[in-house]
Amino acid sequence: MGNGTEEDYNFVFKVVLIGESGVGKTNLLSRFTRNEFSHDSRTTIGVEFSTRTVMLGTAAVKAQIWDTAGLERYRAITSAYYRGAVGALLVFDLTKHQTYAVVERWLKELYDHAEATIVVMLVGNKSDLSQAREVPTEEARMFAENNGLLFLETSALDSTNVELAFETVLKEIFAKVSKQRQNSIRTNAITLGSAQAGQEPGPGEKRACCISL
Amino acid sequence: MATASGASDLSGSGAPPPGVGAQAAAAAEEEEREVVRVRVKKCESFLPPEFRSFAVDPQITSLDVLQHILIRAFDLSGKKNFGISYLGRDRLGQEVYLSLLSDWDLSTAFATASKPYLQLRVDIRPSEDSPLLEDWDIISPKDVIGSDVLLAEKRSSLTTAALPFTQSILTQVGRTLSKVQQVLSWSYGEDVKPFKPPLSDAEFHTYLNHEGQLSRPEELRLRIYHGGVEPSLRKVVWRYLLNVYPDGLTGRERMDYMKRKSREYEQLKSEWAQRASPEDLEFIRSTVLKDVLRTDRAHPYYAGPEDGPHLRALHDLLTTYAVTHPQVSYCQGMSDLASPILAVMDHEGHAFVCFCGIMKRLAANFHPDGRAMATKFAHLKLLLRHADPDFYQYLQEAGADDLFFCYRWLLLELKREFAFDDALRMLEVTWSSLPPDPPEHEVELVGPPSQVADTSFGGHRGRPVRQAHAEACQWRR
Repeated sequence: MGNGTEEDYNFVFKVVLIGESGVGKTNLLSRFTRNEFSHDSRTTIGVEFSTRTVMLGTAAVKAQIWDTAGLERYRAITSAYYRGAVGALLVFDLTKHQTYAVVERWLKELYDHAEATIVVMLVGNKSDLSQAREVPTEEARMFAENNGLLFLETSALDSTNVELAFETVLKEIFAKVSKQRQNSIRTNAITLGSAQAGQEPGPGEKRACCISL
Repeated sequence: MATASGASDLSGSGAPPPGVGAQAAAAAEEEEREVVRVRVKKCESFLPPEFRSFAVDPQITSLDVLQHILIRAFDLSGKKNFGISYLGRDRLGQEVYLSLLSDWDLSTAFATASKPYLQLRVDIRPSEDSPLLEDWDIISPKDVIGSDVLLAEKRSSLTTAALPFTQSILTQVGRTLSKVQQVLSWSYGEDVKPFKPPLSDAEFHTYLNHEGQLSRPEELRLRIYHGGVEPSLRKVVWRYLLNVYPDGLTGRERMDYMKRKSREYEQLKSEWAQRASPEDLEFIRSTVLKDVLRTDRAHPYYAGPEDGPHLRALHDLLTTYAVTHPQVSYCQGMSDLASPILAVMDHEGHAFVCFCGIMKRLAANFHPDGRAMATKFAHLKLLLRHADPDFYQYLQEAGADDLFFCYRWLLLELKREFAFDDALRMLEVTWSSLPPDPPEHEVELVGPPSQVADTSFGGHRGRPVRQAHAEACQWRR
């Protein structure tokens, strides 16, 4: 998995970062897209974006990552924020139990607005502060398993697992998309000639439409 | 620095001195002296000089009061372009005319040059064609002090030397700003004059009448729009720009008003526990603190340890606002709006009053229903489509015509997009482009109570909007 050039890509995957204020969403993003970390990063206002193009096998995938304020007050953009997202990192701070306690609420918000097939990873950030840990790894892992989420612990500060987290999510999306594209081609072949074709596509095809270029 | 001036007329006396900074120190020395006799010589090009004598109470005579006395004494109405200097002594003990440009200068004059009488000189300057030069005249010592004074010569030549450089910067900034203004349609709609130097104390006083009342609020705003405000004057002028003062207050009334409002703030601050439930208060405080600790920390005013006094003031101010405005509560972005105001006012109570002033206009942007922001985006979209259709089309093709990347720009009025000190200038110029909106009676420090039903827009499930922070708290329970 390496960097491709900015303009040369086969897929664009929209991935959203969600979770409480102050858990480190913006630093995860800047670590992944620019390999930067800021100790005194400012609060994210509204929505901010960053992209990075990575190679998955022979395909260049541009990850378009949306970062938002943790405080859920920017309703004007909530639906636009989730619209078309194919992946999500639900981030909590493993040194603050409160940020983990509300993960279920965030999950509900996500499924209320995004499509059910979205790839979601639960991310326990700030693993460098293990002496201040308030959320046991196993507890979070169990929660993720029970809810069908991927799971990793990361540190945006020392880079642990940041690449791996985004990479895993992108690969999972890629696998889904590849499968759906094949299904989609088959489905189209079958429904060819129907006047209603494409008007109300199933979730799989719709996904493929959003992503493929 | 300018302070609110005491009301006065030729025979006025008795009020206590305005006690601010260096002026207070100078004023303290003046305490026993009740009257200063003044002799004035008026010089105007080829006309023979004229003389007047009167007496003033030094404790309540500010520069603008003096200016208006002189205007009346020499019937100068219509000739606002004049300089005042007083006869004092330079470092070598030589008698020279020193310029009187601020209240501070006037205090010095009262303290050092009023025995047996204060000797003033008024120089009437011919009106200039260039509006730019007109402004420089006011702050250039060359025109105030005779050209035979060496010291003044030096100072004026420095000013002259700095002029082209300053102008080029101003022009540069001006170009950028005017582009922004063009896009955001923040212009007055009349022809925009070239940029001017920041508004000075002396010039500011020309906008006040003899009682210290702001007589030309629109013109003051236009002037600030053209060049901003000198940093030392911001503390005073921002209160006008943020619509803190009701119309028609005299200098004395303004001081009393701010004192009273500050006390009101201190009272509200002591009522947190009565006004919010322990859970709500805890939620508000922790949310505010999280943001205060990452707001402008690179700026010296907010640098240093996390329990520093300025950070605590910002936290208390925002918490008090959230508690007293349950329909708005606290929302991310507010710390960015309050931070420059607190740094400029350098006084928690005054900053709170100003914050209430600006939030009267901006609170809707933080409303959970997002309606006000949606309108802003719609307007921006229209403007962009009109101003740069090619770019708009490009954004459309890229699927970015929702313009959400401008969210922060709109919500914080571009505050984050500039270095802190540049942001102060940008903000005051932006604010000055809005028409004055003074409170009818006074700035409300407490918002309406919760429980106002509201039908939301855009299929937002039409549920009534509850107390904003109660809703936010509930989300977390």
